[in-house]
Amino acid sequence: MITKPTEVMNNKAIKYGIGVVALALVGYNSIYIQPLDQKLAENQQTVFNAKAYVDGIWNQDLAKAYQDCTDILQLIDSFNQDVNSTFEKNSHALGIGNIGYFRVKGEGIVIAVNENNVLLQVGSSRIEIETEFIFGNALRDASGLVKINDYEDTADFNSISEAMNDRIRQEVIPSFRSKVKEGDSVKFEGAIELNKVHLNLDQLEVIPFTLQISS
Amino acid sequence: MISLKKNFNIAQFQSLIALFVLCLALALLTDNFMTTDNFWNVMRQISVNVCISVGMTLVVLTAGIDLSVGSILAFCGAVTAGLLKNGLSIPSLNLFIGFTVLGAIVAGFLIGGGLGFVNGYAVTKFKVPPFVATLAMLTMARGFTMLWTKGHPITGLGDSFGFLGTGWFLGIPMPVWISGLVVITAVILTSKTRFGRYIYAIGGNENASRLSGIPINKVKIWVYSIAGLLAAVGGVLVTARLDSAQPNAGISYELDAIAAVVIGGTSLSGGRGTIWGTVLGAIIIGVLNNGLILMNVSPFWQQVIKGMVILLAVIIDKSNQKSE
Repeated sequence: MITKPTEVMNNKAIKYGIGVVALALVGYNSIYIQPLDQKLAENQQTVFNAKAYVDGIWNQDLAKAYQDCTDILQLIDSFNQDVNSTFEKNSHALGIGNIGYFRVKGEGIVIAVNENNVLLQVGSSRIEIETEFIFGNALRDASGLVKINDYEDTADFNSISEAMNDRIRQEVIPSFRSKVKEGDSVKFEGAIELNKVHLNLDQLEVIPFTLQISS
Repeated sequence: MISLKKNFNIAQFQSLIALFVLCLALALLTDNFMTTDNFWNVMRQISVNVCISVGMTLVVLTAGIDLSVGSILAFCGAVTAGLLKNGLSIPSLNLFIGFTVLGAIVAGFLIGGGLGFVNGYAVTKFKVPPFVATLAMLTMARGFTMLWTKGHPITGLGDSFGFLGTGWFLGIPMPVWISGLVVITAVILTSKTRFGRYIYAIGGNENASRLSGIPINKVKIWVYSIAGLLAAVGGVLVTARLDSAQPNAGISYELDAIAAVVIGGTSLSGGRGTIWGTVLGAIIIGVLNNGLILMNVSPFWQQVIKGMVILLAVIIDKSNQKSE
C-alpha cells in the first residue's frame, strides 16, 4: 500500500484546514473588542468609590459606632480577668484567627509628645495614640460596619480602610498635633488591634477616630 | 504480563504499600480521615500537584529538572485572572480587548507553554544546565507575576470560571476531572507514542539516542513546554478554586512536584519511571499533608516529616537501582 504524494498533500490540507477552523472557533469565542473610551465609561459607572462610601458613613454610622465603645481601662481589666470572653464579647474580626479589633475610648494626661505618637497616662496604664503610622484595617474592622462578603473584590474592601485612614490623617491628626502638649488632658475614641495568643497590654496602641484636647 | 511488569515496577509497589499503611494508620489515629468529604477534599487538593507533577515527570524522565513550575503556575494564574477581569487596553488605538473564560484560560496556557519553551530552548540550544535555566525562570516568572499583579491579588473572577475549581460534575469535583484528563493524556503520550519512547530513550542514554537519530533538542523543548503548559493548568485550577490570583501562589510547589515524582519511583537520573507512579506519589504527599493536619501536627514538624519521607524515597530508589 503506497500512499500517493497527492493523497499526502490532501491529508495535510485537511489537517491544516481543521486546525485553522478550530483556531478560528477558539479565537472567536475567546475575545471581544470594543472602543476603549466606551469601556472606560462603562467602568466609571460600576467602579467602587471608597472615598464616597466612607464620606457617606463617616458622620452617621461610623460616628455612632465609635461613640458606642468600651472604656479602655475597663477593657484592660476585663482582659486581666478572662481573655477569651473579652475577645468574644468586645472584638470584631473578619474570620477565624487570633486577631481581634476593639473600639475603645478614654481620657488621659499627655506625658510625652513623640515624633510618631502621643503617650497618655490613662489611670495606671500608658496608652499610645498613633499620629504618624495610621495604617491597617483597625478602624474599619473595629467598627463592625463593613463586611467582607458584601464586596466581590478585596481591593474594594481594602480601599475602605485606606479611605478611612486618609481621612484620619487629613482631618484628625494635623489639628491635634499642632495643639497638643505635655500635661494636656486628651479624650479619645479609636480602634486597637490585639492578638489573643500574644496579648500585650503594656502600652496599647490606639488608631484614633476622634481626639479632643482640654487643657 | 511483560508490559504489566514494565509499567508496574517495584518502586510503585513499595509506594502502593506505603500509601496503604499511611491510610490505615490515619484511619486508626484520626476520626475524620475515612470520610467521603475528606476523600474528595484530599483529591481536590492533590489535583494541582498532579498536574504539575505529570509535567515534572516528563522532564525528569529526560534526566532534567524544572524548578520554575511553581512560579509559572503563579504567573499563568495571574495572567488568566487579569485578562478575565480587566482585559487588555491599548490606549494608542483606543481599543479594549475583553477575554471570555475560554480566552483567558487559553492565554494562560499559551504563556505557560511559552515559558516552558524558553526553558527548553535555554537547556538545549545554549546548553544551560536544567537546574540553572529553570532556576532563572523561577525568579523571572515570579517577577513577572509581581509586575502583572502589582503585588495585589486579583479577585472576583465570576462563577463560570470558579466552577473549574469548585464545581462538581457527575459527583466528582472538576479539578479531579481535569487532573484525570491530564494523567490519561500523559499516560497515552508516554506509553503509546513515539514521542514517549523518545523521552525514555533520551533519559536512558542521551548519546545513544542522538546516534539513533532521535531529535533530542526538539523532544526536550517539547517536554519543557508541556511542563510549562501543565503548570499553567495548575495555575488556572488554583486561581479558580480560590476565586483569586495570588501573587505569591505556587511557592515551593516545585518541591512537592519533585517529591511526588521521586516517591512515585521515577529516577532523577532519567529514563525510568511512570506517570502512574507519580500520581501515586502525589496521592501519598496529599494524604500525608491531610493526615498531619488532621492530627494537629505543627506545620514546622510537617515540613520535617515530608522532608524525611522524600529522603527515604530516594534512598529506597537508590537501593532498588543497585539491586537491579
